[in-house]
Amino acid sequence: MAVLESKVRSDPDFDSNRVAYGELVEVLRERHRHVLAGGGEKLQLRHRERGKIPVRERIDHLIDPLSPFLELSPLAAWELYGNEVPCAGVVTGIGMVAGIPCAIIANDATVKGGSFFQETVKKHLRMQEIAFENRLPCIYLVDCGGAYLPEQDRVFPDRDHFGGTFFQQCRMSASGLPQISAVFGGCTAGGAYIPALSDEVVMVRGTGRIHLGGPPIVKAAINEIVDGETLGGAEMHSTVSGVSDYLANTELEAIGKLRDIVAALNWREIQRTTKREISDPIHDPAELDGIVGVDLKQPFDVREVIARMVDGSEFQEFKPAYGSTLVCGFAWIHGEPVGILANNGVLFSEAAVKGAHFIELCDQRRTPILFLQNITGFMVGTDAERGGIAKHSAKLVYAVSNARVPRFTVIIGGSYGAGNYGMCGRGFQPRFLFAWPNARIATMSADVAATVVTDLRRSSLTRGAVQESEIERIDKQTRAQFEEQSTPYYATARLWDDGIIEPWQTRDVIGLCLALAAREIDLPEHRPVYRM
Amino acid sequence: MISSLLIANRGEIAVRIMRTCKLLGIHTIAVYSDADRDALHVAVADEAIRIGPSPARESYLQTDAIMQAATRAGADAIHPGYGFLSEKPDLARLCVEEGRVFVGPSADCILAMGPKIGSKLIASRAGVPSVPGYLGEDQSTQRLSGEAERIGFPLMVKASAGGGGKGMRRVFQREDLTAAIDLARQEAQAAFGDPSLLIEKLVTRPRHLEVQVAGDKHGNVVHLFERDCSIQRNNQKVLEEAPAPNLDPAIRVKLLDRGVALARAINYDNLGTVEFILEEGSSDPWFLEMNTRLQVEHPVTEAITGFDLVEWQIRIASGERLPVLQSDIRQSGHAIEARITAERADQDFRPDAGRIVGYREPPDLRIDSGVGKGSEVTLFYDSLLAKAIAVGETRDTACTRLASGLREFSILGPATTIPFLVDAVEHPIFSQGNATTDFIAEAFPEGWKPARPQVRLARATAALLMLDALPAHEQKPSAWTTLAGFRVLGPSGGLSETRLLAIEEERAIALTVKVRSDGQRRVFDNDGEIALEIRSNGNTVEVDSEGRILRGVFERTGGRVHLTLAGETCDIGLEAEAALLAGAAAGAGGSGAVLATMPGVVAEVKVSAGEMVEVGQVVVVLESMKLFSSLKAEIAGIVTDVSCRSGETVMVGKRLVLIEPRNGS
Repeated sequence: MAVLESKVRSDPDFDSNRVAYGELVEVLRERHRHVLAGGGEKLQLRHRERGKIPVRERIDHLIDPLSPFLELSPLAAWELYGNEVPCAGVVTGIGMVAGIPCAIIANDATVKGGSFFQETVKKHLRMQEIAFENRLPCIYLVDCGGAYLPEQDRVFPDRDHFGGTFFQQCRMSASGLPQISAVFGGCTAGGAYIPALSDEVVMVRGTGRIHLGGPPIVKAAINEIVDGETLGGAEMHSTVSGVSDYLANTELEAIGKLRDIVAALNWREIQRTTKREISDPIHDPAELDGIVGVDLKQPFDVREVIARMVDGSEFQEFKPAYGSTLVCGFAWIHGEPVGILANNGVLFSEAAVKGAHFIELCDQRRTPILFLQNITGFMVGTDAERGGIAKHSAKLVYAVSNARVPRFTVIIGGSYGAGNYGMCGRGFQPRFLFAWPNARIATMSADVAATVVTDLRRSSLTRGAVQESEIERIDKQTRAQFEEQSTPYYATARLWDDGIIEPWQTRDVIGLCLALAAREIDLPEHRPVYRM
Repeated sequence: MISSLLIANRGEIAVRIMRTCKLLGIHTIAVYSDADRDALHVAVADEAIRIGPSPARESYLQTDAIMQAATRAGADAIHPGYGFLSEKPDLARLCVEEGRVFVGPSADCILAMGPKIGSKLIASRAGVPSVPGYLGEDQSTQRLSGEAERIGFPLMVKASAGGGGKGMRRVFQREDLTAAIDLARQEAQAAFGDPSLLIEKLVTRPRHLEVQVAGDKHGNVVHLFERDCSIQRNNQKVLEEAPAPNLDPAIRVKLLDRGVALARAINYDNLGTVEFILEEGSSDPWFLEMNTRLQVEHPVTEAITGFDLVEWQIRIASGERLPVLQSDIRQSGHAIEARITAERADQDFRPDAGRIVGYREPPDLRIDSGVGKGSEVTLFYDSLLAKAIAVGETRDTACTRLASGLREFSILGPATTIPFLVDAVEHPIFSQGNATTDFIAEAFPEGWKPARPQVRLARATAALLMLDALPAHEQKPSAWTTLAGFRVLGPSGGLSETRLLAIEEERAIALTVKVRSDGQRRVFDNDGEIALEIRSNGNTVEVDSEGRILRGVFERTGGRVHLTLAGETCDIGLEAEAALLAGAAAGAGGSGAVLATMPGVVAEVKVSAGEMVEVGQVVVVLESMKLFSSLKAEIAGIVTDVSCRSGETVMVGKRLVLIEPRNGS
């Protein structure tokens, strides 16, 4: 197979790109460091003093020694609620337990007592969705205080609110995905149902509590005065009520028990794709910063990116001489086969139908698809419209929507307008979606938006003649709005993606995702490829 | 010559005898007890016959069983090896009666040299002096005391029928004599069924020298020079060499002459060893005893003379003449043998047992071994596993080769004396050739302890080797198995941390392995980082510690890593903390968490982290309502956390101490 050659040389552009990108990465790392501290040093210390283990350490203990942990959306709720809910109060991700990849949902009790905000629920649900799709057993490390009451209207009532998490638990259990909980703290009211709806439950003596109504509610409702331990302690639930199946003396013991439970799941993993020997890319992923840079208006050859992502930098390019603004081809990442669609400029009709054709190839061959998004949109103008860009771009959207193979998206630059649709944006439910720190996501760029909005104002009949000062104000306001809302941090805070990753991590992250998906590709029948 | 030979022995000597048999085209027949069904000597023999249960007295010491085995296998001849029945005249006699060849001296020779007293009388008649002493039949305390006065103090009172240190007492002054005689008598009676004692001068700082002799059935006797076996512990030889270092030529002549004289006196007709003792400063080697068999240390003589002594034994027993004349026997070079035993040299050479999980011999030494990978070392028999023999043109070369070869000799599983032997060989007293039988006491006055300069490194290496072998890593490779410790937040400091407990004998040492975002693994213990990188290939490992590269051999079994690294042998159980605890919960035999039973003040904390505790051991004393209650460990294990201090006020139910159960308990 052809090995991609690199034309990248260390020149002033490359070097200045690196410097600028380095600053972006430093911001990302700074923010990651912030959320790694959870509720802060003081609360962490108090947590430890109570014999409790910090959430990430619990996960370290739970997963197989030295195995990867694919953490998702660490910057959820970033800059929301005064930036006081790091990680949205819950750490989620995929880790190997006894050799089995499991979805792990772990409350951080140092963050607002582990209570649920809208983003907490969203993150929880998203992890469950991923578990469902990738067929992962779910492990809940429960240490939470239920809904954050001041936000209850955004947490409790709607379809995708708290109730949805329990709905998912029940449905997953019914579909053969084990639901396992360890209770490290209080589980009151709704929280009680995380363990109660689990297939197996471990409780930690002394700190684990489960009760539908806590002592204050019991007193208010039936005038019974009782302490929490008597009402819903681990010992009571393990020996009297049977709500808990295992009583652990310490958190570590509980985690060990979880490992034993998973080891005894009688779980079978089937690999359905043909793996190759893993090899590193020939070209260094560390050079991605100098190639991509921070200015979305500066184009780069996306093949340089692919060359730093795929095994051996090998790439079997499809239709290289046709529709060249969309690069399509086959490759392997960490030994897993993958079809890649990557933007190399504005999407024209030819590029759109080429992409649709390529997706059909992947679908027929059971090859997962990776979208590398860097797209301002589909081509506009008379020529484009007369050439049927609307129907041709629709073909790509059709193909993206109906591909049965797992799809993955990484936003490596702009993700604007219909380009987002054609390249499998969040609305098209790729299995995982990650963004780079230089990414922008919006209906359009701030420049275009300002032009559109000011033109609209100028042509408005209802609002009368316009002052230039008002136009200026609108222009400024619109730019500000779009600039703020299109940053990757705005997006990731709201769970529009599964996390921001450093460019050189992409290969590893996608490698992990592909390996999960590889177990699930079992299409009942083949489909033809319609040449377009 | 004989065509089939039954070897009435086990271990390295059985294997060694068979090696010569193979060269001579002799069919080999091993015997084995139940414990030895899978032993090496059984595996290398052409056939093997079971002779009884594991205890030696029910198998290898059963003359009848041996003879029956010989009949069953149709053996022409029996070789007794050393120990067991080798110096029992019965076996030799029965062989003659049944028309089999006994590969050893005649029963008469064995009988003559068996009794301590009798053999000395024979020696005396042959002009070979013994250690001054009293060997008389008058066993009255009065007579013994009188003789003691004549010999002078210090002296030794010994059981006449004894051996191996039983019934042996040293007496330094007159006042202690009577008590020593009484005790020695009791011990002699208990151990040998015979209270007879003899008295000998206690020879100070002696050397142990011995002469290898060989005689045939045609009246020829030769010597094959001497050996020095002064390095001993508990009266067992540890290092043996030939020739004896720093020995005055005149003394050597006297020594060799005396050895040959005694052998001639009894018409000795096979290989044997005449043992002498040479007091410091003396030029008069005194006869000690004669061993009418092949010695453990015969390889050093083979090494300097170039003869195969087992072949000699077989040929002589078959009636052949000695293959050479005395004038044709020459020695060249120097050879040293180290006996490797399964013992804790740091615990007064207490025997150790267990399965040998890894075994690798050094390339440049002669190794006579009775074990290999998978061998089970039991406490039923002698603890000798193997002998390492180094040869050099000079003694210095031999010493160097022996030490470096021993460092490369990897026996993983039960503790061996290898690290001790290295230290002994390299000790100046030995390397300068000035050792006496007091060597160990003089060289290691506090008892030998391993220096263990690389123990942290070895532990860290073991931890990484353990992590390399986790089940997940054995699956078909994917990013999930190859991206060790990957974390999305890794570059931001959110590193993977694996916490392990390294369990060594009485201690548990906490280790943390962190994975940097570039995949490099770093190991920490309580003293900080242990810098290392490892590369393993099969069962060998290369450890790079800040540019210093060390090589090791390892084996993993269950949750343990057995490792030899730069002469450092360690045997470490490694467990993820959580995994260790899950097992504890499953046991349900009690909780490892010691909780405050009442609110009160901690009066005393009796344990500290890392300490081993037993069930029922008091760990904390709690004062409450003017009452002191002792909180006890419900399980045996290692204290991993002490979360209270003396004087602290605690609430009821607070966990004061956490004990993690020991593996398997």
